[in-house]
Amino acid sequence: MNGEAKNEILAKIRAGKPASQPLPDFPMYPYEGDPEKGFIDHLLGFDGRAIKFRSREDAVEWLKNQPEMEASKIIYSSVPYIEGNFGEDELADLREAQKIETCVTESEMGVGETGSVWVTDKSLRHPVCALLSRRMFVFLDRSKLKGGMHEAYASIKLGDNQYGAFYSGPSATADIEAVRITGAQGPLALTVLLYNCADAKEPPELLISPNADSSVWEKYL
Amino acid sequence: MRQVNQVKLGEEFINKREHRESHDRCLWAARMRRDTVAASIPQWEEMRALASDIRKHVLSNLDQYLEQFAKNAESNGFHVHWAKDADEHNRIILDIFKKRDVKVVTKGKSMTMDECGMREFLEKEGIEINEADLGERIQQLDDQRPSHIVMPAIHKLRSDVADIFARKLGSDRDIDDPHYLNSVMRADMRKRYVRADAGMNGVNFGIAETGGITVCTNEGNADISANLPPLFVASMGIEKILPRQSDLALFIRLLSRSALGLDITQYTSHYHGPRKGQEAHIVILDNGRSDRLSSSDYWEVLKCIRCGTCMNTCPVFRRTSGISYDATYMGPIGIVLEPSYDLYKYARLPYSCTHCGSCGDVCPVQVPIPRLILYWRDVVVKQGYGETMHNLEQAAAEPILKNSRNLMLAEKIGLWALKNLPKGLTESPLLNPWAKEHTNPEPPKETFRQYYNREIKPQIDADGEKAGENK
Amino acid sequence: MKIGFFVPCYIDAICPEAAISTWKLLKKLGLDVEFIEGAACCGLPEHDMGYIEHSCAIEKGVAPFVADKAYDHVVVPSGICTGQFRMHFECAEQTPEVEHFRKTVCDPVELLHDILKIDELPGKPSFPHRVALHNGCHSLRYLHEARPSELMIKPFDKCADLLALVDGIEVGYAERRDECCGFGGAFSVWDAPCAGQQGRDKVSDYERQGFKYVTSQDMSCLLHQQTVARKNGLALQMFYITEILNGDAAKCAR
Repeated sequence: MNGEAKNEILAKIRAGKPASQPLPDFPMYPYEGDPEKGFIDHLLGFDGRAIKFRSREDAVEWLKNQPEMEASKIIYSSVPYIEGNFGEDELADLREAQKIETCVTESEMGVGETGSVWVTDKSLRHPVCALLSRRMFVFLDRSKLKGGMHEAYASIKLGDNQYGAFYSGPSATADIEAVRITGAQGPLALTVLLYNCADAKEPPELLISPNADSSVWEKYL
Repeated sequence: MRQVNQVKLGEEFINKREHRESHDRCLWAARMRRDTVAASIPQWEEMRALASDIRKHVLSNLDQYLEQFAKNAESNGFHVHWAKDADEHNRIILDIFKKRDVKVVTKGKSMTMDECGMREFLEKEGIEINEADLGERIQQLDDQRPSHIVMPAIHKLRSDVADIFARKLGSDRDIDDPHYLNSVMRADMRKRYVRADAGMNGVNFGIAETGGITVCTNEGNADISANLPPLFVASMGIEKILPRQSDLALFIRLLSRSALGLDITQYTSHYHGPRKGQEAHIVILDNGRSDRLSSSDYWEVLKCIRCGTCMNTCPVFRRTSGISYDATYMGPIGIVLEPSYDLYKYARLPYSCTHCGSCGDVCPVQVPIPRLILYWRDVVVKQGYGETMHNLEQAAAEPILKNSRNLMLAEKIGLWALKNLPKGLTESPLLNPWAKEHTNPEPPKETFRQYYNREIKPQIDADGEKAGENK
Repeated sequence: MKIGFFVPCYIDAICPEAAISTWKLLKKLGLDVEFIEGAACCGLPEHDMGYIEHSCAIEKGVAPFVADKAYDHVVVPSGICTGQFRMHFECAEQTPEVEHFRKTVCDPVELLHDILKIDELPGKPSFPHRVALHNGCHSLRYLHEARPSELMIKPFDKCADLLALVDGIEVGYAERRDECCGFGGAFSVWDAPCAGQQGRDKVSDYERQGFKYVTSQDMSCLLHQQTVARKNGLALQMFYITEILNGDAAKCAR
């Protein structure tokens, strides 16, 4: 491309840069808390929701009975064990993804330090379906929880994914008088179905931040 | 050309009491949240030092890292462009858009694009640019530049936003609930996303090792802009590079905690090339950065990762708002960056600082902002851009302050005036700028020197004589 | 221990009681104190504004008086001036005497806390009041006399340690404990609107917390706060820290 500008910039840098300083190595600072507790606390702190299940089958069973999964809803699923009704045909034009009410997907990793789930273009298939959906349900195997961010970055290969992201709760903003609003431009809600939890309650218990007030945006959206 | 008078613009904001109080409260709360989350990490200070060292390493080897980044990015499928300055940057992007006949663009936050005046440039070329970040969008609709690099409309009240949205988006002027205003934004943007021919974003980090870019946002808009349209353009300053994927962990841990007091941004997204069928570009911008890098006094400013925490902590910024800096970058980092773009225009900015030093201690990458502010004051004076009033005062003060006898004489005159002249005169803000906000200090009975000469010196002299006699 | 006593220009003229209390306290501690009569100013007012040429002239004027190896320490009853000497006194020729001076110059808090490490005060001073401690920004962030709230390090506060040696005192802080009060040297005149707002915010913070007395190791901050308070009709009384440590404040507390 414009090789001239490139060469000029690099030449200027070479001529003026300070004497080389060493690249420090640093330890993988461990997360000091319990990854599962940390994950749930932080996720709830970001106004996400969590439910613990003994098995993935339990989680699937629970989800199928939710109002968001009724046949009248527009459902996109990127996992084989949940059937959606909005697939490749409907997505020939990606802009159609705006219609999606419920997005079901699976995360390859969760992070205790931040309550984040790691999703990629592979796990989501079409990331835009997650981003434009109203509600997200994310399956996560408890055994795939990491403690801290260092550990999390060490267990992925960024270059393998065209798109890879840590989602921490639903979209949010605080741009008006720093009032925290859950449900900005992306999903209004994000629920993590954490399975393979030996201590899951029966019936399953929906964990919500005590401060969350979804009725506020429900009023307007 | 006009010089920016931050003091005067700041005073206008200070006098808008409700705005000032809200602004100060919001940003101080961010600073307090930052303290809380930083305190929860045992190695916080060690991490700051490490982050600083990594940034220094990158900057001192920037040519190699940029080449490595560009090579890897290209093999990931990105088109990589290099822009020496704002003009080149804007033209490169215009060319990309013209080739694809782009008419509508959704744009995420990008300081480099702001710095280049890119939106205005493209709008003049007839391209519709829709800011997709809520704060940025409010500012676009109000035709005002952002007042904070992370919270662009934080100087506005909800009623201001209700008014702007009512005028520009037809919403209900009487509802100023931020949740409602957010829903207006969401509904309006949804219509615009689907019309967009291209999406644009800034870049938080470019990773040399992998040739990918990292973008950190909260609203989801940036990810929609990147993942929906068939064309994507990211703009990145040359200094934004990190060497390794593993370095990201450190910087992600520092960034959002510093910026907003949140453990992470809701969307911490990494792009390694275009998605299938998409075309993706990265424009690498110099625009004076390589000059800054060559200044031994100043190059560390390039360590900055644009978190905005120096603004949240700055006592001047919180009371005067970013609007008063009339610049792309505002607050402490703005004070040290803007004069490097235009020394005359921003010659007064380095004086909008009390030297409290908080920005230096709060900075996650240890940019020595307080030292750099002093550096700029020095440059301003040396280049002859000092305020006339300052020049006169400082020249007059030198002979008094360098000699104790002159100082004593000046003190005598000053204290006499304070004691004997009518208050109407000594406390007239016209004659005495101190008196605008302060009373005059109560003149003391005597100065320390007078006390010393009256009370202590005779004793010392007497002791001395005694000692002499005893010899 | 031989102490050179440097009295900064503004302390001499406007806040002599800070210097007098310090002088008396140092004498009571049995130190050999000598007032450096010929010294005028550290150069901060000029250096701070970027007028290096002028500050150089001032530095060169003061250097012969303060840079004297006969002094084990030069004590400066003002945090900002101490910081100026230590960090920025680079224009005067860096002779061994100047280097010695820059290494050993200190403010009274450092002398009492770090060098003499006192654990009791002469004359058993008392100050049976609640007092707000304002750690001046320079003392806090450049002299490291307390933990700045930004830094995630072990908390410490040298002024509070010293004040704890005073009988009956109760030390507290403003709610925004170490936010700048807006003095900033020439800033308080140059940017009067902001300095005034910062000052008002600081003194009304004290008021909200119910403080009547304020102390600090930096008289320049207090001078600003005191006169802003007065301009706004608030009756706060402010003392330099040695006025309390030497028992002088108790006598004039209203």
